[in-house]
Amino acid sequence: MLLSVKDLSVYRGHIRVLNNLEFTVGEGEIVAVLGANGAGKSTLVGTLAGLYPPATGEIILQDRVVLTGKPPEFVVRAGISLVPEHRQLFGGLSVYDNLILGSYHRYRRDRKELPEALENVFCLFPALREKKNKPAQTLSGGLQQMLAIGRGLMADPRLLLLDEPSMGLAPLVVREIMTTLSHLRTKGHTIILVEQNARAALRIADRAWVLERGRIALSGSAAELLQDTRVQTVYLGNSRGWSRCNQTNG
Amino acid sequence: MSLESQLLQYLISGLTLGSIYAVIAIGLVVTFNITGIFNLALGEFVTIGALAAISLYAAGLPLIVAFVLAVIVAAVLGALMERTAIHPARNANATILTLVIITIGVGIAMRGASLLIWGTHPYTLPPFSAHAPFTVGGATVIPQSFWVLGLGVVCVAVLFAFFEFTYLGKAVRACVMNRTAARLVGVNPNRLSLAAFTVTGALGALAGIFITPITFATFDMGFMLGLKGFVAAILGGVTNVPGAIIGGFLLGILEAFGVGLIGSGLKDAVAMLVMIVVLLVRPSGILGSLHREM
Repeated sequence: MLLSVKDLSVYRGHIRVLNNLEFTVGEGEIVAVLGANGAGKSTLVGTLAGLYPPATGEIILQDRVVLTGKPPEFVVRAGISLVPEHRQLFGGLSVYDNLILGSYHRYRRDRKELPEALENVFCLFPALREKKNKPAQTLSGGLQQMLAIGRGLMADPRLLLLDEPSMGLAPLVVREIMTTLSHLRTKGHTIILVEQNARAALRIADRAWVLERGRIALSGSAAELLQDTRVQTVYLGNSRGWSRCNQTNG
Repeated sequence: MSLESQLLQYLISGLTLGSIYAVIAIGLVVTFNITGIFNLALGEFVTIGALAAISLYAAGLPLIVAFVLAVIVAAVLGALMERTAIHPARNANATILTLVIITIGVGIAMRGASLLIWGTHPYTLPPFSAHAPFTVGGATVIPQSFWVLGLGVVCVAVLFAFFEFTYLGKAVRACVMNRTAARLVGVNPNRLSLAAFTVTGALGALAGIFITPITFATFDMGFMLGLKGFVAAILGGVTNVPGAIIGGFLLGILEAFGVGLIGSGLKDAVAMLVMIVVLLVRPSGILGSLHREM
């Protein structure tokens, strides 16, 4: 098992956002995390990345590395890289600088591997190569998202966490990004994908969880969840009266 | 002395002073950008640097060795301050205000220690080069002025090169732009904070050592210099390094002209007046905004 989480509870301020979560993630799978705004999706991946200390529970990577309560700079070294919500690029720095800084935690050790890692990212997102020397903040939303994913990959993670990569992007760009993610999976990457865009996420995921008020309300294979009536009405918008709101934070 | 050469004389002494203010202001701004707090004890590092260099030189060490050792002493003190006073408080979730007040407390303690060690006497160092003063357009320039200006130029050049061209420098800028994202790629802000206090402690000491042959050194010299550096930083827009440099020189020149044309009693009043006017009229500083960019 790549990641196993036991009894995870997290508070943000005085509010208990995650309630006794238990789950595992296997090597090479894409797990989609669905749920409404405020269900705790971002808190979940943020906690896995070390941004929020859990109140209870354990986060264990590869059956031996205990990540519970460790800061992000430790977690990324251990092999979990988060592509955060809203991209969080280093806006004033160039595309190139953003990417090489993605390798910060291994820069001293693996400096020789940087050109190859960089080349891999440019192969994945050729458009980034053309804008290599442009400041990140001048890129379009889609390219910024690609850059954020590229920066996350530069850390050479065992587990890649993505928080709402489709947010604010045009459907075509979303499709391109999702295609890239499933391509990453075929290359052996393990991904946890938080998405409001449930349809796009379920299309590429192996498994999915639906978070509701900090608990896993539903879990199953992506195909099962696509067929689930509750998922269909609430998250896929297949019935009247429900509309998906894609612009707001999860 | 004609009026022109007098004005030139003021300008030169203004640039000399301004160079020192600029170096201190850079220290303040860099620390602020990285850690979010002002190190208001920075002026005391100027004192410690100067007085330690004087004592080491008096103990018989060659001038250059005394300087280097004094700068190292200040750097170590800076690191010590961060580890013993700032870091534990931050871990206990102290607010920015609390942290800044801690730096003021550390400053007062350092000034007290300086008073105990060195007393109230003024000390001095010999000028770095024994050359006779130059005459430029009727104004007299002492060689030490060039050393001070040179210090300013070298500090700016080194910092610029560090932030623009080195990987670590870019990581520091990244941390200033987006602390969370920087931590996610593995940058440890605690370490950067330690580095910031250490390096700016050394920077303050350099400023103190270079200015001593011109102004003498006393246990309380750093207080006013630190304050002036702070005013220069505010002039420049608080987070803006080029702004801090311009602010430092501007303040030095204004002061020198204030002293020359109105009266020497006004020297310190000029800085405070400038600060009040800037805060009232243009709180974002001459160049910058309060936006966190470097």
